[in-house]
Amino acid sequence: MDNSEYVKRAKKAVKDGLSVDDLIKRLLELVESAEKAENELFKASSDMYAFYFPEWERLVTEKEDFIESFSSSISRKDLSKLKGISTESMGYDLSSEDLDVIYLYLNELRNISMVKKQIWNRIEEIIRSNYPNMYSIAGYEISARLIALSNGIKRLAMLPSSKVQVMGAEMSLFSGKKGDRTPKYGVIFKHERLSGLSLEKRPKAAKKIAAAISLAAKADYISKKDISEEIKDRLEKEIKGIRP
Amino acid sequence: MKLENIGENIFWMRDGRKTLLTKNLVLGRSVYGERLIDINSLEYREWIPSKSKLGAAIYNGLRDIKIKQESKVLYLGASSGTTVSHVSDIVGVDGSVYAVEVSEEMAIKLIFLSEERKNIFPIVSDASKPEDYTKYVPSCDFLYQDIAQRNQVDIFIRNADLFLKKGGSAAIAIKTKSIDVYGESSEIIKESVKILKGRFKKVQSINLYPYQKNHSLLLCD
Repeated sequence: MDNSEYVKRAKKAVKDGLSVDDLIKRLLELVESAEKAENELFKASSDMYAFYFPEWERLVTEKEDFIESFSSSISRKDLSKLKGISTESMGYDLSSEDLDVIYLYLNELRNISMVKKQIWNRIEEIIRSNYPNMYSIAGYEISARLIALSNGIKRLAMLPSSKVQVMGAEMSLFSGKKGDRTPKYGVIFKHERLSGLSLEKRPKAAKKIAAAISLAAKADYISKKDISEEIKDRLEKEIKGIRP
Repeated sequence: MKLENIGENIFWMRDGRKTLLTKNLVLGRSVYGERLIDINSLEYREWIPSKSKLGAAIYNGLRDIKIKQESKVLYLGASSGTTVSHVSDIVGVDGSVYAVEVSEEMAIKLIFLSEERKNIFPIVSDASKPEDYTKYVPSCDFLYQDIAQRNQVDIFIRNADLFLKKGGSAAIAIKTKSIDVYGESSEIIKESVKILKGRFKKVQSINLYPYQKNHSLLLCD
């Protein structure tokens, strides 16, 4: 028996079936693992640096600042200048060999953080060029997550907006028993229009935003026309009309 | 070490504990990281129950597996081909396994597997739309389905109507959580058995705990 016809046909089906949505899903996975690695490396390296120069480490709490500071040198002499503090330190005096090793490690941290930014840029570009409505209503991060969660724009466009509202909150949606309170927000919680609102208005606004995103997905999948201005205006009006 | 034959190309290896084996069709190749075991200059592959629902069912007391050498098997929800590889071992070179999988990314592994094993016929298609692959699947002796979907029983019956030979057997792995998250597992199984009894004469249910949680295998004749 010969299955080569089937193998050939299946290979073609795979090739034709893979789409830009699958790419978005994969890129999201990449960027999530990069973020995880970045956090891990940051935690370890800031602890390490605090061992050597605690006075400096306590001034730099932001991850981005910390990573930026180590571009050329990591010695007390060079870094103390940046913050204008004394080179006097109660930390352990590391030899230059030790500092070299730590410098290599910090370089890895810097690289992974750069990679992370690059992947996000790429995701943004893909969303902007493929799904202009989604891009302008939901932003690239939320759009990408929604597309990944729903396995493609086609399914996302078919989903009701109430589902779009809680997508990404499956844990709280399914955990607990029947009749428990269901979540109000999924990945749309990060939407820029939500964070500025008072707590009373937020749940209602989430509904409106989900409806707008759902509409944008439908426009991107079905008519492929850019009607984002229209949707945006309507969304603004609706959010203004919300009474607490 | 003792080898006990419990079906065509299926064996229990007893060396203090029981290990399920199938005779390896492609010598020297392990498919998903399972052990290869040489006994009397024949090669066998370990069938790991935590990775395969059919394997788990045999561990939990499934006696007669109904898949024979030279059988034609329709396998829905082939995924990356873990269980498919064992079914391919059982049916042997003259049998055939028609493996349907909807996800392209999962199908990639399955396609590589079918290049190694010539008795696997990969079909990238949605099992809930059997009309799409009627041309490619002949009538079969055995139908196996492992799809985690709400309407899995309905899909199973539709495929059985289309592809299962008269008198053929079938098995469906049911994930109760995907039929109803809140429902009681045993109730859902009962309900499914009732539906299946409308189509098949005999339905036997095997719980796959502890190898697979919230899963049961229903064997239909």
